[in-house]
Amino acid sequence: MTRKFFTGAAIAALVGLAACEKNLEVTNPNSGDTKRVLGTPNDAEALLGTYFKRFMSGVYGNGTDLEGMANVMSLENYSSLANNCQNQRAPFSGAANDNSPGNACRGEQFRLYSYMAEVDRVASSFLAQVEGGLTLGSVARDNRDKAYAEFLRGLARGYVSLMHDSAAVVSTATGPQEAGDLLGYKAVNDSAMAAFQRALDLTALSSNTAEGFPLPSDWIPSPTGMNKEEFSKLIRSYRARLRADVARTPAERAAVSWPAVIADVQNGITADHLITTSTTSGPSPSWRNTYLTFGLWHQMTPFIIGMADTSGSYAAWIAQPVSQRGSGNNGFFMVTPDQRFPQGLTRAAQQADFTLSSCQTPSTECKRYYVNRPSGADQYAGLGFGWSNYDNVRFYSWKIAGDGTARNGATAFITKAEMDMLEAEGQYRAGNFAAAGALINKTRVKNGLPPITAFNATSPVPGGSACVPKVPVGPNFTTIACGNLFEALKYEKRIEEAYTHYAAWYLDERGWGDLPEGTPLFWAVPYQDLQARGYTTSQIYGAGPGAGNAPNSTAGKSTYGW
Amino acid sequence: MNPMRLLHRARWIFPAVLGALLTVAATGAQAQNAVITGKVTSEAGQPLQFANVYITELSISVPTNETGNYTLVIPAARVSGQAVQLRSRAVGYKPTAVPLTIRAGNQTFDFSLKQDLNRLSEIVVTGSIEGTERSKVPFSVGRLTAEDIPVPSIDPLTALAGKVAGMRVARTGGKPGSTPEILLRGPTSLNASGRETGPLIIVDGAIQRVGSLEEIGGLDIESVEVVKGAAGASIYGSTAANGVIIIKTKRGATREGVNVSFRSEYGISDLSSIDYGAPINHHLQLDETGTRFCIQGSSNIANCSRTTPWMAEIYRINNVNADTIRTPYSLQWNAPAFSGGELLNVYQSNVWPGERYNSIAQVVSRNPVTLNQIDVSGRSGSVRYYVSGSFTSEEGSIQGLKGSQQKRARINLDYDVRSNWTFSLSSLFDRANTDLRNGGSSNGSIFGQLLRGAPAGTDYLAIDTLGRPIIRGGGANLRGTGNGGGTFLYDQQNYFSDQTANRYLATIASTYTPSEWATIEGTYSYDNRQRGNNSYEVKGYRTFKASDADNFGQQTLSDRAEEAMNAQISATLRKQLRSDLSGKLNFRALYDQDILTSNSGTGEQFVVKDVYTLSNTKTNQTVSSYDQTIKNMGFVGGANLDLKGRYIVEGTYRYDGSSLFGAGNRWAPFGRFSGVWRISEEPWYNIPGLTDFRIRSSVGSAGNTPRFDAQYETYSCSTSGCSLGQAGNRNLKPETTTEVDAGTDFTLFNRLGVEFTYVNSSTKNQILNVSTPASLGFSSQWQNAGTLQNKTFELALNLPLVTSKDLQWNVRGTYDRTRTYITRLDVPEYFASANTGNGTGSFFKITAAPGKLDGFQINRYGNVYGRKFYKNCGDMPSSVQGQCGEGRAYQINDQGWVVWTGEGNSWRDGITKNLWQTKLSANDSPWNFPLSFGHPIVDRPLAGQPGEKVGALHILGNTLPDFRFGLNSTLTYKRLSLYGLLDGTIGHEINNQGEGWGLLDFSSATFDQGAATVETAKPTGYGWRAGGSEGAGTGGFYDQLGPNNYNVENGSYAKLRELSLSYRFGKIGGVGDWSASFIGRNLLTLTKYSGFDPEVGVSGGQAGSGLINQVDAFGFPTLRTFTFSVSSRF
Repeated sequence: MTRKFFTGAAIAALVGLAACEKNLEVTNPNSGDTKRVLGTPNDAEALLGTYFKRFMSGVYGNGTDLEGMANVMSLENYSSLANNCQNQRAPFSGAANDNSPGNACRGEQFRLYSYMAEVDRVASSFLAQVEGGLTLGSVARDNRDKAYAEFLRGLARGYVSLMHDSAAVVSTATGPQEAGDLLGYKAVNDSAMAAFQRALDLTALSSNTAEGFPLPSDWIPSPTGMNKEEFSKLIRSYRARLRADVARTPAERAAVSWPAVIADVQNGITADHLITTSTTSGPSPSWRNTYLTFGLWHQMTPFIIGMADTSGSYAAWIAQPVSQRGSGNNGFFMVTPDQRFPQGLTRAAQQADFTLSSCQTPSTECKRYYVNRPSGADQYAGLGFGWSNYDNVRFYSWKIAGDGTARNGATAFITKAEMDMLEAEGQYRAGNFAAAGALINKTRVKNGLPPITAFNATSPVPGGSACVPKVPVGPNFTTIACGNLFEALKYEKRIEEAYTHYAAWYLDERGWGDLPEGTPLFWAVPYQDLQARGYTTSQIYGAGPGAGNAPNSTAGKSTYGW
Repeated sequence: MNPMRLLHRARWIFPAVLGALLTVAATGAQAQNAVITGKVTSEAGQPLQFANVYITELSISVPTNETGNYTLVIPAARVSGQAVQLRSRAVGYKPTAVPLTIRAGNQTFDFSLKQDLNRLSEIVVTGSIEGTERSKVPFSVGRLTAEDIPVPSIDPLTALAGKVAGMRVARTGGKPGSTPEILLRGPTSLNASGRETGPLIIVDGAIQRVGSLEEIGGLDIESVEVVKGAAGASIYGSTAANGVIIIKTKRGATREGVNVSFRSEYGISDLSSIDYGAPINHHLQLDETGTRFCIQGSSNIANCSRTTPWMAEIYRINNVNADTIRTPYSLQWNAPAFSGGELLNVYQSNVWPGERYNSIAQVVSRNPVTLNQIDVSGRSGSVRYYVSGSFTSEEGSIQGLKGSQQKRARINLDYDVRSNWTFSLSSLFDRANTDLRNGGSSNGSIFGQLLRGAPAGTDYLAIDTLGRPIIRGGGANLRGTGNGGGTFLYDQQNYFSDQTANRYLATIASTYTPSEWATIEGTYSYDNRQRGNNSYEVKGYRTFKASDADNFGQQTLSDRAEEAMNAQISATLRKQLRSDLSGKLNFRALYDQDILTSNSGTGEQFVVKDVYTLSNTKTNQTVSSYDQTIKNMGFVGGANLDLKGRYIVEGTYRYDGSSLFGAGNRWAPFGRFSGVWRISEEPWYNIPGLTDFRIRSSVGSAGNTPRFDAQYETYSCSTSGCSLGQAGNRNLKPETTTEVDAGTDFTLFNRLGVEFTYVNSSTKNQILNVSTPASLGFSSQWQNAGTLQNKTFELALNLPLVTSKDLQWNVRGTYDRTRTYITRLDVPEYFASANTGNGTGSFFKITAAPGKLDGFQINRYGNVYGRKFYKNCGDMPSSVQGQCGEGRAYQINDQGWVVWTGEGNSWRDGITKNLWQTKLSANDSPWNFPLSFGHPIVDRPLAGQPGEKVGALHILGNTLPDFRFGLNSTLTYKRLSLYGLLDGTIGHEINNQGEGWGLLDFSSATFDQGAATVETAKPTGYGWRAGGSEGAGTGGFYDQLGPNNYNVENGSYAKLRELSLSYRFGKIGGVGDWSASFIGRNLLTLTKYSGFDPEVGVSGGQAGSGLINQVDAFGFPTLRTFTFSVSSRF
């Protein structure tokens, strides 16, 4: 009896377990998974189509990013705020890029890296799905979408190669649980260039038909309709930027394939590339908004903008040791013929020349790039060298569109001027000084500066004592003199690209040798990724450090002596 | 049957069953009977009310009345001259029995019961395979009955605070309607986000997956059993690693008739103090009369050329016939320059001119507390019933807030179908209304706004010229810095947020005993809670700046439906294997399912005023929804052997499946093996003075399930598109706690009952959210990756000091000490937050590293990490110590901090030598970091060392207490009874974030300099940040609210948690059994903690509990209550 009972119970239990196993399967109805998200052509396209916005969010979408640090380190911006580690990366501090677990800048140092990896992965997963048989309905559409995915891979790999010493690159054959090996930044950049080329090739194979281009308008939200020609131009412009800006040192910058850069620029955008931002559906660049806020986030240091001065202020400022520049809490006032700055011989005159009200109509470009701040809006916090009367307000009309905080509308993320200067640098390095000079003169003349006529590497820019730019002169760098053709190029590029794209000055200055001495040249693989891969954070990948600065990973004494 | 269909059918099953039972109840019979009468008293001769007199063989029992008398009536049909045992038992006394021959007519038997100090004769049902006499239970069980809870609480668990060793219960937020947090022994999960940290709670067989404990009702409780860890809770499987609490509610009497009881308690609650220590001094510049504030100048207007009285300015900005206010003037600081953020020449030293207000006193009030209950119980034929209705209301202590109200009804029925077959129904309906507002403007925390931004000169009761409460009473432009500025009473008239919850809980249980050797039981529970929230700002809501969303009103509606069912069936087989050896087998199968559905919608800008529907809004209408289903099942087998009543061994095995486990690990085993040796029952035992001596030991395992979404791969999708979330993990397992529970119980000289328990538990397979390589795209994955260990000592004492007939004085004490260690971590160490948005992101360090730091074991869980200011010369790096001391460059100031003064100076010279703005440059600083004169110095690496310039992290303390104690005493003289409970939590640290905010906003009286001398006065920067160039994270007591050794304080406290004085009148006018009591709760807190209340914490987060997240972040303090109660029985 007992035996029968237990036998029966055991059988019942086994049957019960088998039935229960199925009953315990529950689907998560609140979130998709890869199987569902990439399951149909429409859903797969819907996911892929949002990933340019995701890329933008990773690069520009949050103040918790490297850009705040990089802009302070390169003197493009100055802030004494601890927020986003700006003050920890103040130039001349010798502060290392701390990569220790839990460091204060962990969020900032991981954002670009992680977002770009996600964009690369999604684009690769989409391509793998297509390789696996998913079709979007036509060859033209397949090629269009594949081109877009390759474009995203190029962007993701390119941007991570700009800032970090290593990253992983995934292919369509990389399994969903495979992380891929870390590659040095040059290899990562090379893979970006290759992805861009595939994007161009696939774009060429598609067509401007209903099934092909233009891209759906929300894939790259822009006033420019992305037919295949416009899309190709955009790819080439990004490629030009990323090919040149990956260089860490003057030697690497010199070794850039400048003919390739020139070719891309000449076949790239023909006007500023605008992105239509939206705070609700993205992309929404938080940093740009922050830089258009009067406050401690945004002070303009005179190191570079002072080069436009013709009043003697800059000469006096440069004559001081760095630690004493700006002391006395007086800010920095300058007079310049450069029309991008407020005009007038006194502060009051400059304030009267240009006020923000002149660009408070949405989509109205500001009269000047810089404003002499209204009285009471001065921000004198932190180190004296960070203080001046000026703020960059070039995109203020975008910021105050709508209710003043909307940040909705079109604004530039690649300027034609930046592209022109890239070509100019290529021409200059090739010895084509006249071609370079012609490009430099485009914005110089437009902004009231006399055109350069002596097309060589040594002649000072015209203007005599009122020349722009003026640069510190070695070996002591306590006096200034008129800059030459290349200095004019650098000046134009800085002023024109300031706050238009990610770490604009930082990326150029490390290649030009202009970063303050001791400034880190790149960031290590974030410790979060090293740990997830089972590495210690002291392990070094590429040329960079796991913690602190590795030898030769910081800038030497700059071209200007700082 | 499909469980869903079962759930739906349950809605009509219960009414049908109820009707059938009531019909049966009407039948009954009267005939010639055997009547047994007598009296039950204690050894001291005190009559024992509610003692039980019973005959097991006939399944008959009756309670004694208030005089200790009982009458047991045996129906004639059952009278046959049989020999039985007449038994008597009472809570706290040893049972006894006398032989009885049942015959018609009257017989009398009196009982004198001995005290059972360790209550070893109680029947315990939790954790064992069958209800078992406590002396034979092999693990530690806390058990309380209604008699142990003379001061009831709204919920059934708060009343347990301080009464059970190893059990920590606290309302870390005193807001009415909040649920208490419970921690048994120690935490078992390193990352409990989205999961429970408290124990599994079962009420009358219903597993509590739904709702809030306060809905259960504190006055319906008959008994509570607490099994504190896996060693005892293995039988409950994968959801019991945090322990189990079994609550049984009252049931009908076993004798015929109807008993009616009522209890009415009414009183008030308030804050224990309205004196927080708000500053009476300010740092603003006054005019020459000392009555008006200077307004900052501009390019054409000199500073202080315009002045204003404080309240005149408040009225000016508020008195606007619009939805917004005027822009406040910026007032001038009492020193010329604030530029650069340098706060070194400004002093918080000017007394507010004119009238000053205590803003806390202005907004708090004493509000009523009500607990009313009436119940009817009795027996009619084969049906026993207990029916109760109650109303509880707790309005809280903030003017205008409504608090929480609950209306509750309970029906418990037991129907004896046959002598060996019973059928029971337990049912509850509760309707709760809760005011969800936090009291502050824009629904912010009123305590945050009161303590941060309420200037002493602001009259918050002020009404503007249009009869409206003012909406701005301070803030940024009125002070050089400072947040807040909002007011409190405006929102209470113009912002509303209510929650209504209806809960229906019912359990059907049946027990069938076909023979002495077998019992079959079945239980089915259904729990349903429907909750609706409605929050809105009225159209015309006023704000500082124009805001369409606010000024035109906005609304959020949400609903949440929770539905749970659990069912189990079990069979228990018993056999007398030998004359002195008995055995039991138990088999059990269980299933439970929980379904949660929630929806919410928002809208802005009402079309029509005073119409609060989303369809009446014009813009930004959004919707969202959430849905989850959880299914668990388990199979249990257990065996018990009892040899000679002295050696008891028991083993259980449970195999659990859960939809929460990964598909590759859907099932998990748990089990227990345990034993008891009742040494004092041995024939050879003869130790005088040491009785009821037994030792027990149990080794068992139980689990914690993953959160619902942990196993799934997820994408986050919104209007801006989709992004990758977390990677899935099909191999995710439950956390498994294996616990060893060993202890002894004994009685010394019949005077002192002692229970001692040592526990060592390890929870393996910690479920952690682990970062994945970035190139996977998914940012994290839930993985099993660590082990958490708890070591616990528990001691419970019961000491009856006086036991005479008229005077009894009993003292009970509990003590427990738990240490929690991370003994294994399979992922890199990481920091975890304390779940506040400010400054506590790196509060805890999750590490298994060995060794000690700052005197703390590094791998101890709960260690608080933060910055450390030097407090003595020995704290400094050895290379600098030589420069520290009186007359040297570094000195200890009057507040006990090491400060830099420079050689030849004293810390007293700041003003007299004008040194406060001097600095030691980075180049001259040993730390390559500038120091400001007179300011405390953050420990950081010396120049050239790794991480230089950044403050070093230290262990500042631990949020888990060194030990806890509880002490309760009952003194009864005849009809007068005095009861008190003191409980303490000792040796833990709290991050006083309120003080940190106060430093930022100059709202901390600590730095009022009104009474300071020129030697001791400190500038505002001393408490805030050491200077504009020294950024956050690098110095200053405020330091962006990060923990440091200034704001992390010892949070030890002892609370006089309960006090009551009761008098039992007995019959009044020959009717009832009347009692009256004065009751106080949380009357006194003994602590050195400087915040409002040390019983604080932030719930949720990775730690999952406010008892671990010990951050004082402006939660509602625990309220003090004074009440008077009247009760009677009829």
